[in-house]
Amino acid sequence: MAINNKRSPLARWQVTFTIVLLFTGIMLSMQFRTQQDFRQTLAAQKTEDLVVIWKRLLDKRERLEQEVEGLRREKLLLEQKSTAGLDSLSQVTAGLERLRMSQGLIPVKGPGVTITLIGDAPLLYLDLVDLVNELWASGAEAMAINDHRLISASAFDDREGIDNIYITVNGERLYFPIVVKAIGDPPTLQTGLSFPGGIVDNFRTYGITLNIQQHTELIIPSAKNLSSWIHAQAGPAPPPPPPQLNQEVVSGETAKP
Amino acid sequence: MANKRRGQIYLTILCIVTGMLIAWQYALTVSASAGAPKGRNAMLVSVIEGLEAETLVLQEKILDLRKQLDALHDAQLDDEEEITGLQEELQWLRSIAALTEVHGPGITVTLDDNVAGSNAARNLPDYNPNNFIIHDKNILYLVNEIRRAGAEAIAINNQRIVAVSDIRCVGPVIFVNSTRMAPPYIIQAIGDPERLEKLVSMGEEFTYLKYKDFPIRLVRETVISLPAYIGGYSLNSVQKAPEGGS
Repeated sequence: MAINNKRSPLARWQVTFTIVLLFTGIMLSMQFRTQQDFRQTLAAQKTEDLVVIWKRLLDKRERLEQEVEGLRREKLLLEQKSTAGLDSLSQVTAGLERLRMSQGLIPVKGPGVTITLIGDAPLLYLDLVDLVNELWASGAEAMAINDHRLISASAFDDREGIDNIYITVNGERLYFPIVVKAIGDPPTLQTGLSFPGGIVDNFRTYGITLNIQQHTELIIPSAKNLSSWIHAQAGPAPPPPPPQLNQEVVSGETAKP
Repeated sequence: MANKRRGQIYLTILCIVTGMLIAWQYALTVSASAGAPKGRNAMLVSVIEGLEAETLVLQEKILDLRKQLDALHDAQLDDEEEITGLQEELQWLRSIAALTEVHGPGITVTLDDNVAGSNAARNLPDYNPNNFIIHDKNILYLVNEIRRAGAEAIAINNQRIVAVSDIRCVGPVIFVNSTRMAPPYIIQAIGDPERLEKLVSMGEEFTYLKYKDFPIRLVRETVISLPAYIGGYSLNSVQKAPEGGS
């Protein structure tokens, strides 16, 4: 008991002391960590520092908003431009296609008539000028003679061959049978030629027979040689230079009433 | 006894220190979790945190918009190149199709009814007024000769002659492109003036009209201006055909 009494207070004291020290150690280390974390948080900052941070953020937000606004406007413009671009692209393409057809750049097809002339009568090149003119007047939209597409520069002529005179179109010889293909409304085209006193009657007086046939589909090739301009220029003529007036004579004359 | 007392003192000091530490720790933990040690900073902090979140969203938006703009720019460039190429062809075709005004050197042929001849022959028994007026065929054949001489653009009394133009008369009146003409007929053509003058004046129709005493005159021009073709090119029956078909 004595030994126990003597030993136990010492042991108890030591135990208690050890526990308290251990606890304090843990506390201290926790304290340090918390302190470290806390120093990073906004709440730990001084008010004036917070105000500076706040002001900087306000500036930053404003700059970013301006950037977004600018980008949005640019995007809108681009989108408008690109839809306008697409519109004008399809417009340009449609317009081009029509011009290519009407100017003979591409082959075309459609209903129409063929007029066949066989070489059994004295056909003159002027007869072809007349025939083509009648067909245009009757609403032909595209024409070819022996697959020579007729364009605005097309002209007829005749040349002397070895033993005969032959007709040319665009400078190229036409061989019989001469077949004129015209795309348009077939009945209208036929009537335009065969009405009483029309070209069919007129040709008949010279012994020329026209064999006219209506077709549901004819194909007309593209022009071989396209018009190219050397002398002509699109647009109005530039104004003439002002006349050279002799100022002295003019004023001298007006000064003498 | 003294030993025990000293131990108690140590213990007491330690307890005090530990107590203080616990109190401090508690205070810190509470303030950290509440996020606001002081009331007026709490406002500031929440405002700042809000701003930080907003700027983050804005930055993402900017990145996204820039990406979209790049894509649009690329598409735009492709379109512009294509349109420029097509517009050049369109411009050329429009001029070839006489849809624009045109100017250049060339000739002017003026012809009129033979009024003087008609007046002189009026009392003759075989007087036929048709022999003294210009007919549609005269103009039609003259135009063919002007085309043959390499004219690049032709107009009669300011009506442009195109592929589909027709020259016809209804009664005594001549129509060009279905537009009524009245004498004198002024035929203007753009091309090489010398070649045009030579070939047209030597041509059959010009020679014939001159021989028949019609007032006909041909002059070379350094520059003439012709208006655009007013009529259209109707394409009601015509369709595009595949290339190479005949």
